[in-house]
Amino acid sequence: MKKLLLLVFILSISVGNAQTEIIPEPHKNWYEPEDPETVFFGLSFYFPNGIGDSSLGNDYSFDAGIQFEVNVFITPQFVAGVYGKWHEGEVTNIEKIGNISDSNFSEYGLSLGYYQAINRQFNYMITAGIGAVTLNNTVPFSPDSFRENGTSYKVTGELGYRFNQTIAIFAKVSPYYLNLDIENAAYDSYLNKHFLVDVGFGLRVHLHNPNG
Amino acid sequence: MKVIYFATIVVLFLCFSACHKDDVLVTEDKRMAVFATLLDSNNVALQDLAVNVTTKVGEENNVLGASHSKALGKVDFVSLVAYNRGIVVNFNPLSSGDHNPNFMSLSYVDPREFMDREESVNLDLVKLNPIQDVDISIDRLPETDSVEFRIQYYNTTQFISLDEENNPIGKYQNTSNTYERLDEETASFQNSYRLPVGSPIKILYTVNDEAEKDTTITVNSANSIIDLEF
Repeated sequence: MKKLLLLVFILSISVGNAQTEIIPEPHKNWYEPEDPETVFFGLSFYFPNGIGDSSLGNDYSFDAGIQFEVNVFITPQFVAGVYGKWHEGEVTNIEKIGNISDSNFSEYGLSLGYYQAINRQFNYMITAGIGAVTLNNTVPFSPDSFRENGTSYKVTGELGYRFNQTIAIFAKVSPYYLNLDIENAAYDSYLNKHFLVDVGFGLRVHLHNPNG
Repeated sequence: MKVIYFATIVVLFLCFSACHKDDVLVTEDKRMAVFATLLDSNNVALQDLAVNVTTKVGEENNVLGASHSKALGKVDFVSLVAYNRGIVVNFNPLSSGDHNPNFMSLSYVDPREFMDREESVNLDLVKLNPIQDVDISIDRLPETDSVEFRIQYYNTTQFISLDEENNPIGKYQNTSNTYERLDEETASFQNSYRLPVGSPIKILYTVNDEAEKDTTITVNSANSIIDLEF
């Protein structure tokens, strides 16, 4: 029995030493030096704005949207993420797009980003993303909406403020280029090539490896 | 029991299919641009007249796209298309809230239903004639026993086929007729019409049951009152 207790004691010391050995060097980006940042979830509200001479820029009035994202730290500074965002737009002028009353926009995409703590509270993140966009268009007299698809290419800048190790808020600006695939040679650029910018704010929840 | 169950499912399926048969199915990832220049009968450009595209004649509320003519009568707008409907391009349509009653309505009809509809329709010059009130009076002379006549006139809404070879416009009525007989009981006829300026009014008549004759009068500002005696 004594031998067994001795063996357990020696093993526990060995395991403790082994754990100590794999703790990486603390990084400035970590809120607590002993806890590496691993993943954070973001939930934000944004306001889409069309900034080009296109149907989304001229003929829509957008409602506020909501975005959910998950970002994983690949290194202390680089993150990879997935996101989904949704908003609606009412058509204000049908002359150059056809008789659509409103459209629901949904987007699912991937992003790669650079995260940098300015100090313990403030941080910024810059990401580049690509997303698959779907428009569900409603026609007043047709009960079934019809869908159109496109691809979004975006850059997002976020400024964050951490209240503690777990909770942070952030503001963001996200300009993007949206390319749809509507067939019409005469209005190809107007219907398909859109420059927009989302301006928003949100909440982040940071999670960490237990015991670093 | 199984037969009843199966029959019920079949009936429900047929009902469901029938209910949705007339739904307009908009073509995805497709738009049609409409171009034209809108003029009156004197080649004066018409501005601010309503133009739209609907799914077919008789479905005026199924508007796929709409606009107004701009400076110099230019028409340039984008419409949806539906793969289970044709298209009707309507100039100054009666169903529009902006219909101008001083001009005729003109519709270009293509009833074909297909997925790969062309991306643009260029109608070049489109002429809308003004509308004029015309009072027509026909009197029976004392020496005439009876007069039978038919007044054939052009409607204020006209149809033109965009695919005349396969879909002639014959089934759409561009003209109307008034039939009347004057005899000892009825000595005269009088009626008011709203007719496109420049359109012919053809009057085919038979006096005392003799051979039919006809006369044609063109609507213009000088003949808003037409008096005839037979």
